[in-house]
Amino acid sequence: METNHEEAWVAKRLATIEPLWNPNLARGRQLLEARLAPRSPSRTWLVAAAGILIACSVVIALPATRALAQELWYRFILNRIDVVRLDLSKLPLHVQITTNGLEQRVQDLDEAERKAGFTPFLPSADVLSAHPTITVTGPISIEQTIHVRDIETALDKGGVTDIPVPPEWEGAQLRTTIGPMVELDYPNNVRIVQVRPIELLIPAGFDLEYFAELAFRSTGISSWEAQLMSQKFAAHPAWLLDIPRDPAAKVREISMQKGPALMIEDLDEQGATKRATVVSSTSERVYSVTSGNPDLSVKIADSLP
Amino acid sequence: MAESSLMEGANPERLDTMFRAHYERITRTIGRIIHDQARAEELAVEVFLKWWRSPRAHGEHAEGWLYRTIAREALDEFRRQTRRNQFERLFSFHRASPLTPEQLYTVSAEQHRVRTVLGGLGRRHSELLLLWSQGLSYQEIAVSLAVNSNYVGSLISRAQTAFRKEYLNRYGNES
Repeated sequence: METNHEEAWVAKRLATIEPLWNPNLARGRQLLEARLAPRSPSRTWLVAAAGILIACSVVIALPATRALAQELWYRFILNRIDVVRLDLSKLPLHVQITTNGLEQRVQDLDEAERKAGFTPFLPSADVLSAHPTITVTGPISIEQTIHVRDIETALDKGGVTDIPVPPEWEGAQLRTTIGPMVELDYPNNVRIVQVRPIELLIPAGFDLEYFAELAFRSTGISSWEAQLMSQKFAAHPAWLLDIPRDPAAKVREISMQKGPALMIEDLDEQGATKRATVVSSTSERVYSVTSGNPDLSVKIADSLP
Repeated sequence: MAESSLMEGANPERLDTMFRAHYERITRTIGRIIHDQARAEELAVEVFLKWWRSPRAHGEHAEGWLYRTIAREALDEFRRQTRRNQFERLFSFHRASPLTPEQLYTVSAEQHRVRTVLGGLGRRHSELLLLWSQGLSYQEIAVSLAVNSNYVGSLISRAQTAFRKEYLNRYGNES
């Protein structure tokens, strides 16, 4: 009786995840045929280039912020985070995010170091004395593929008609690798995330400044404003954190002992801080420190090396 | 290398037959875990291709291989999505597009709880429940998961117990 009751109880819950849609056989067929069709030369080139890159990156040292990895790809090391109060999601890029390796709870810093490949730093004990739980995640790869027609359509919708999209961009990929990442969780919802500088790969000859201008224009800002922002971005590439203007999030630059950082505050309906995140970076590490109090977040971030 | 040249020697008609016969059911099985229809369809196609590339998966156990693989892929995808969401929430570097009304509904609904519990169970229990809820017969489940068909009933019963226990641990008996 109990078994039948349990079976019915479980069946009732599992019935809620029955999809409400019907599979689209025609689309499935299209997807299948697309995967079976011979790939275009540009895609083949990109795959080959990626293979070369993997081989080269093992032996090439990259002391500079911007370094030429090899002839086919440019490699940028992004150890700076910039915030733009824009909504860059309007630019239609085909995004594929891959997580390599599981999120793993580890016992101690030694194990974290073995799994992450770098030594995680702790804040000084007078700032946070509790033992954190430690988790290692990633790395995470983000591939953004450009489809010229999609971008043209998006720009048209925004009334932007004076900035052509180079046809040779079709199929080009921008690849970002983040991590592995070490997360330290303390009581009272204090969290420290640290990761090595982010790596961005773009095909050689790809005009990053122009692409940035186009991305900024897609958000509806003026031509001159987009040009200024894209010049700044191309001169000093940074990971762009796009946070549209929104009363629920306040972003400001702050000064810490070790240099400038960003303070991102999530606000509740009354305008009080729900969560305060300090994003800071050094030449070898990007940190994100989150707590419920801006001062505490700054204090913790400042105590990290 | 082109997919077609990689697959020289493989029989495209066999792929076509399997695809026509199982695509809808396979995709619906994925759809139980991955609520995004487009992603579920992509994942289904990936599994058919994987099957096609694996000659050892052909033959009389082809269907079993497909359902076993699809259950694993769907659950793995769900766990990846969960990790990704956690990452995005943590670091906020890769801001997601605003949630659609459907997503907003799903997040707060029973579906999310059920998927979370399934994602948190041991792999075998999750696979059993997924295939059982999709209406596969005991015989089909036995072939899919390579277990003795005489034991399928008791294995499902244990998986149900584990599911209920995990659900109540997480959410209590609210519904």
